[in-house]
Amino acid sequence: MLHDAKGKNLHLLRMFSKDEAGARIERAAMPLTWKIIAMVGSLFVLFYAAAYGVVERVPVRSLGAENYAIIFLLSLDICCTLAIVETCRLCGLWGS
Amino acid sequence: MRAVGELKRLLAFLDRLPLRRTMAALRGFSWGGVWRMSGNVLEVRYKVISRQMECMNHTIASLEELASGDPEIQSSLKALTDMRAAGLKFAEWYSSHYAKAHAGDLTSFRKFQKSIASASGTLLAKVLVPAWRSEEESLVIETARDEKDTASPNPPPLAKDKHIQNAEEFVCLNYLGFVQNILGRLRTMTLTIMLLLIISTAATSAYPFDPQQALSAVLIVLFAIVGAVIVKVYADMHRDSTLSHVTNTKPGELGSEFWFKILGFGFAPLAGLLTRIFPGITDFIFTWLQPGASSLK
Repeated sequence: MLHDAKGKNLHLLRMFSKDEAGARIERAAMPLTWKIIAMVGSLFVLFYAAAYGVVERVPVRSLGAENYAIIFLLSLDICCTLAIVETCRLCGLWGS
Repeated sequence: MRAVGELKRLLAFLDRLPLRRTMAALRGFSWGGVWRMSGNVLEVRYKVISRQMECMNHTIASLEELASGDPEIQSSLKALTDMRAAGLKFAEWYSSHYAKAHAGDLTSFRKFQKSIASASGTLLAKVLVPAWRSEEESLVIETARDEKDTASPNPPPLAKDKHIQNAEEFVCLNYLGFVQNILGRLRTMTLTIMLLLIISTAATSAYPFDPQQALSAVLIVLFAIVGAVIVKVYADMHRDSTLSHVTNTKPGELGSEFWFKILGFGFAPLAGLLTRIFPGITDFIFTWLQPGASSLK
């Protein structure tokens, strides 16, 4: 703790402290939190609904059964969602 | 997001302190280490910890040499000797567990880390800041004069007092360890994103799903967004003053190493995307590989 000429405590170096800067950075770097789960969940539903909303049927067709196309679409949706969420977190952690 | 920009901000704050002269003088840290960080984080962490222990010994010795009755110096010495005691406890645990793959009790390590943080805070507030206030030599003019003549910048002159030099090195290593951890996390995130892109493009290329144009458009947009963000973040990192000081590169400039690494990161997903958009590429590659594959049979 720094002091002024009268010996009064000065809180001047908080941006270098473990409790402030350190804790915030570590929180942003956590691999899994409820906030991330909520972000992934909402984007996943949004993308899936948007794909259905555009064509009003299963948006992807394959040579096999329709179920295969749905499984593929769900997998592609989860990949795109995770890629976008991780990109947002990369931005947030670094600070671009 | 409340945590936006925290790492960049911390690095910017560190660059505003005279600690930057010691960051620039540190040896044994390079961009290669930063890029490789995610491969084996523990090895890199233990390297920094061993350097911190060395530096702690130097700082204790130089502060004891002062033989000062100054209460600020005395409280710094106490924080450092507490850290030494915590370090010895951790070293004892490490010596008996380093070969055990499932050793996971990090209680002594946590206490050791807290004692390092406490010692760093005490040194910064009670030894370094008062010493910086009484310094007379400019760090800016020296840097500007050198930058004219040399391609890579010379570090500003170090503190004249040995105990200040050691204390600065100690505090720098503490922040460096923390920053290295976060850079390792950033790299893991980047690798995850790349892997997800590769999986997506491979899945769409492997089977004739329809509509092909729409699926290609989704992947192109995703690749463009993700690629732009990753290049921007890594370019910012390479330009950052504090990280440039540590890795002995010129602040504000991107070297060839940066572009090679970006190409390395982006090659696999880009190749996957191109084979998706232009299926002829896949056929072309297979016509080259086919004779070799046949001769192996």
